[in-house]
Amino acid sequence: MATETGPWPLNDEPGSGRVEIDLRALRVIGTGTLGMAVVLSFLSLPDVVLCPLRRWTGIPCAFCGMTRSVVALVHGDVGSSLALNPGGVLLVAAAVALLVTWSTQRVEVPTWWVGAFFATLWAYQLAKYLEGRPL
Amino acid sequence: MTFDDRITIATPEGVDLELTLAGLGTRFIATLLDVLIQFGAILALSFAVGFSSIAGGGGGGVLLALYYVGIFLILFAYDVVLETWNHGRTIGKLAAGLRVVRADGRPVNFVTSAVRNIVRIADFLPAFYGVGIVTVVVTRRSQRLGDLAAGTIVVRTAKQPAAAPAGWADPWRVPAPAHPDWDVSAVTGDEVVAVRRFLERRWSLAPDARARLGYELAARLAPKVPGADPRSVPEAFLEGLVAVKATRG
Repeated sequence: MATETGPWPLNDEPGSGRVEIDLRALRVIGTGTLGMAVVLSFLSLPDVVLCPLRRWTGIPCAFCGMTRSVVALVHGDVGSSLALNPGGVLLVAAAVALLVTWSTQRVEVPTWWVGAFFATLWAYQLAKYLEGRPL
Repeated sequence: MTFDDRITIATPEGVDLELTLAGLGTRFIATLLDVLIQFGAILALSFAVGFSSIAGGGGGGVLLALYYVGIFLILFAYDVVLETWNHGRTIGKLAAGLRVVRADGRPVNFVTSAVRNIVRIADFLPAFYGVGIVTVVVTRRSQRLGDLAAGTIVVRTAKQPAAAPAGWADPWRVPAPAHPDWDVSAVTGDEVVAVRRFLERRWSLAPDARARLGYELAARLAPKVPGADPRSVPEAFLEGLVAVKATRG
């Protein structure tokens, strides 16, 4: 049982503090995603938009193009992968890094990093949308 | 993925509060129930608006505006209102035995609830709470993005409120008057500060936490106060202790 040893009272500001991430869980998810990408890279992907936000409003979410980005990277097409969604490259890099750093079980990062990661990905997709570039 | 689902929060009174984190399964059940209730409410609203437009004829624009406001309230205000005024519990969470609390164990307020429910949109992406599920699984305190942003956690509620130890009175009874016969000289200044801090913030604590902290502080300090009835109402004892200490030092 872990003990939270933060200052009391804890900072009330939303988004403050640090978050402890279980790398074992992330490793399983990352490896599964990589495996799925390898399988998908041998299949012809149907042109279906699964994201409800984009499907109903046309506006991309932070993860639009992520599957195609990972598949492109598996095919060795780094340029297309980055253009589709840089998050795909980060995802593959993180999945490989997690396998390399097998012994590390947990990592603690500032909470705002998590928010900044999603916000950056979303901002990139929205910029593409506003510029009329293919999503 | 073998994180312990219990966390212990150290309080200033020196009493550790142990909370059990909600798992993915119970959170799913709670969310499913809430979504079904919201869906039912939207369906009922749609029928009501449809019926009104057929029966009423004019005012279609106003009706449509009210319809959208109604949908917004059902989708967003449902969670925020219930979490804020029902001790962190929506109907789904109540049924699943869950409660949203702040990371330090205190109840959620309007701002924290609003933040965690606005960020729910991001948690839902890319579909069916994909981001939310991943973040709940990989974070130590099983937090989705909304919880991380608001500084909240979802915990299991105690099956029963903290029961009074044998011989102790109910904690909510009217405080007893000060006791001139108490000898409080053995109680240290730090202990009085801890008691005072507990008494100041007791109304912001969840009922379980408040009762437990009160009992533990009273049980720890009662032996140091000759003349005090160890089976008195905990908070009345603590109030009396602070009052007597203030007059005599």
